[in-house]
Amino acid sequence: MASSSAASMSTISSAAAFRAGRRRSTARRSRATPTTPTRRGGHRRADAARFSVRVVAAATNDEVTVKQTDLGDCKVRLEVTVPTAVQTEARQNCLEGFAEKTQIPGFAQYKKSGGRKKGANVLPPAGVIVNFVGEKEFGAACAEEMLQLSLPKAMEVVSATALQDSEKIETSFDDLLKAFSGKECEPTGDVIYSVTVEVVPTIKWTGDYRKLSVTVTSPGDDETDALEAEAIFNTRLRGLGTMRVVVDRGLEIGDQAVMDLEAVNAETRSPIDGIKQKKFSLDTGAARVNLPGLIDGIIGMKLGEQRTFPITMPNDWPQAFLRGVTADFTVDLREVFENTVPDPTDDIASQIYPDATSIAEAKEKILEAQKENTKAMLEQATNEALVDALAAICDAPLPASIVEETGRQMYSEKMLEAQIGQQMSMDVINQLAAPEMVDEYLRTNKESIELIVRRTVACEELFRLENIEVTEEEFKAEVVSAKEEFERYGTEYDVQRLVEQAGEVIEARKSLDWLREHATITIAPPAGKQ
Amino acid sequence: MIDFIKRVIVTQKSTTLLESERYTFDVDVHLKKTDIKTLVEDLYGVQVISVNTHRLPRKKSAFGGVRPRTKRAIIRLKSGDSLPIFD
Repeated sequence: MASSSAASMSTISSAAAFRAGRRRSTARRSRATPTTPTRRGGHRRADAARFSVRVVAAATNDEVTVKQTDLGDCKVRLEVTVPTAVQTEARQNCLEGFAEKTQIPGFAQYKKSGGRKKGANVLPPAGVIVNFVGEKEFGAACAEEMLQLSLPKAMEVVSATALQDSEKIETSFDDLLKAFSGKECEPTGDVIYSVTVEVVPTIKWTGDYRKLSVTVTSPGDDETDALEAEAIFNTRLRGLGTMRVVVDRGLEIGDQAVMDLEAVNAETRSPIDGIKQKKFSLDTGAARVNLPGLIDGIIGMKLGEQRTFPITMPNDWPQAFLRGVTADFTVDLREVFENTVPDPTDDIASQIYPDATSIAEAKEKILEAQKENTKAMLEQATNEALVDALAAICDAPLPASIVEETGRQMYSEKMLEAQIGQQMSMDVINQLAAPEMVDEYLRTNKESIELIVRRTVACEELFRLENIEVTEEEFKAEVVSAKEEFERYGTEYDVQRLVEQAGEVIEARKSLDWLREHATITIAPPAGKQ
Repeated sequence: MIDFIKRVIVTQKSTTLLESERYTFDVDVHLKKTDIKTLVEDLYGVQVISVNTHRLPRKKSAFGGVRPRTKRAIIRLKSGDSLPIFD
């Protein structure tokens, strides 16, 4: 029987036993009957002895040990061994947590700090708590608490290089539960679980990033700008004209035509989908038509007439696979309008360009705007070329989690754009935001996402290597402008995320500035003039 | 008579008492202190030092009338002895 009593005592965890011993030795002493002191004293000593033994045993082996294996591809596996001491700590935390949260009949509500009620700082026996909560649930809570305790310690090993939120516990939760399968969910022995973590890719530069040289094709020079401005002016002027339906004559230059357009490849006879268009509206009087030969082909057509003629696609056609291809165009003329263009007088100048008082001023302003536009385009093209060049010499394995995160961001940006542009209703957007759609997007656009990630990784590495600094004012300004942008569209945002993003944006901009300073940039003349 | 212990009491007070070998349980109202002592000693082979009993306040049932009364006993065993039923 004596051994049975000892066994029942040992089920109370060491800390509880210690607390019980301490309590008996202080608070309750005055109320003790005179027949018991020797026996109580004996107990106390036994408790204290048991406790000290535990501590000694724990001191030798109460550290979480981690074994690190490199899996390649930016992945590291950590094998974490959790000693019994840590598990006991986790279980004790759970006992206290549940006791604080639940009201067990027959016991005062537990409060760790000691409540107002008498005995509020006495933890109910472990068995009672486990029974009340349920063994399964309690075990799960213990396992989770154990992870909470051990994972941060394990992650310290790779804290310098690990990517945020990339850790993944590989061991199944059921296996972790087995650790707490003892009586009253006591730990049964050391637990080993494995975690995979993604680490910052080690970047190898295949070239010297300080001596980048890029060639940027200029989107336009003064000459093309002037032409473009003239075209814009003409289009706007024509936009002010009055339309009249033409029935009695063929199509003439200067008319507005509406037609159905179709094209087949002259060699393979396969239809070209990108060109097929119904009710395509063409202003034959516009200064520039992207497809030379089309107007020549349709001149003189009458309403309802159909004509087929070959056109060789120009070399600067947007779709690369169509450049230089000879296609047979079939045009079905639907409607013809005669455009009566008003004379360019100063009266209509303000309609051509807002706030312009004379035609000359309007032309000048359009040219100015066009030049600005070209400049911005050139800058963007330069940036793209620089980053691409940087990404090309950056050889690094890309962590899957970053790729996925970037893909998701890109997708949500697309959604946001669609929402702001109000092209889609909220229902459609919700449908598009379904996980399957996002996964599909990630799968189909893997290459482009990876390219962007590579650029980002390269820029970040550059930022780090060159010790580029961001001043606080710049950072604040960026945060404020980002916040304003969100508020303008009334979109919800997460402040922490916003700050992070602002930091990233500023880093990217600074890296680009650095690149532009250090790289050799050759600006080639516009495509048409080479 | 093997189940003369009607119910083992697990409350804050009873668990506190357990630490000094005092065991709390409910028994039939008709049992006297001496009966309880002999029964525990015979059935579990332990030495009982003292028996304290009290009758709980009567409780009314939902349909009128009074619920069956029980007697609560707190027995103190000799140091080192224990009742397995309380494990």
